[in-house]
Amino acid sequence: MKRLLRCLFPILSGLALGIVAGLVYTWLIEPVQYTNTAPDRLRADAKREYLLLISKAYAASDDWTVALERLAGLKDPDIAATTLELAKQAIEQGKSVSTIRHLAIVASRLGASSPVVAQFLPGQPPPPPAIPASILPTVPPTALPSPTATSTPAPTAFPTLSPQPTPTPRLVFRLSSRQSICDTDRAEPLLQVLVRSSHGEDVSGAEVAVTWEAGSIHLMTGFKPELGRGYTDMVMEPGVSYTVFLTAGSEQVGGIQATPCRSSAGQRLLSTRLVFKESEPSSP
Amino acid sequence: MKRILLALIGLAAGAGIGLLLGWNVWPVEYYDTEIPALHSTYKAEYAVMVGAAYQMDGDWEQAADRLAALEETDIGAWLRDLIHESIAAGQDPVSIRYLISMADQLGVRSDIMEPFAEEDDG
Repeated sequence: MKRLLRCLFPILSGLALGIVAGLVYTWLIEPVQYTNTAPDRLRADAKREYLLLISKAYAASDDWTVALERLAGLKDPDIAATTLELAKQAIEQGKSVSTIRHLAIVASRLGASSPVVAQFLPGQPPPPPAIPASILPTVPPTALPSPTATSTPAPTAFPTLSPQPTPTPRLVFRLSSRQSICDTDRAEPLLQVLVRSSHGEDVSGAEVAVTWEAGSIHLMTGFKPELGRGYTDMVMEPGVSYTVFLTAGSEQVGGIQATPCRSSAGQRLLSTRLVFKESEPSSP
Repeated sequence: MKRILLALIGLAAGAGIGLLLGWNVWPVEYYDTEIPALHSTYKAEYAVMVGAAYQMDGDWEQAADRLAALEETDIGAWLRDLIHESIAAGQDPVSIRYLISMADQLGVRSDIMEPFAEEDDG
């Protein structure tokens, strides 16, 4: 027995040392290099970027099956909440309306929504315009009496705010053409809107508000890139009068109706094509 | 002498076990990897999504930044190879056109791309 122990001791000692040396080498000196990882192993910010791209790709392709497969690749147990959270962050960070909208749409399709994010969904009233921080008061305009002696005393002096004139809405875009089309190829009348920059280039992601007596819808240019990045459209109902404007600022173009017309293909309803062009920047 | 020999045998066996454990059984797990560490399939997926986003917002600068995140030494050549592979594999033409629109910006074109690019141009 003693002899056996005498033999085992050096073997076990060597074994233990060897294992430690092996682990040190494989964990610290030459660890396994992961070069073929999946999206779920990405760093948090890269995951967010990946999720944002999924929402944009879905907006471009309208293929929900593919979007779901991509979302599944992130292996997030609550992907709906994560997407909604990302949409909220995008709002807080002042990201573009289209970016917020793409995330809001995916979150909504996943069953997650919040009142703030829902404003950016298509068909909702336009979100309130962002108030520039420079005109926001940094202190309350009036001091409230302290309810208890132990509460934090309110500041005694406040800077007064000069009354701000009501800003006149700036016309960022102007209607450059309005065309009525008796379309021979299409039975449904379309309200087509094209938004162009001051240089005549298509503007994608421009928000177009369409209102009528019974409702409103917000369209975004660029969803049909094959027809132009600044293009968007919707089918009009006969007998309804529509008004169109750009939420970025434009005149309101009203009285748009799908009235009957006669084309070579027979009786049709009139489509309307509006082209908005960005106003030339004027010197103050 | 015999003890030393036994200790060396133990050490060698232990080192072998240690390597086996460290590389195969309990390898170092990376949870915070970057885009370049993605498997080629996901890299291709990422590039298609970047192309789709570019198609949506027309912001080439941002698309270029996103492509740069792949950290490929020659992004143009990488994109060209990806387009060729996608065409050969009969991938969705829309996805291929997204990729070609970015290849165009990088000044990369090839005969294989032409039919898809022409559809895009037309």
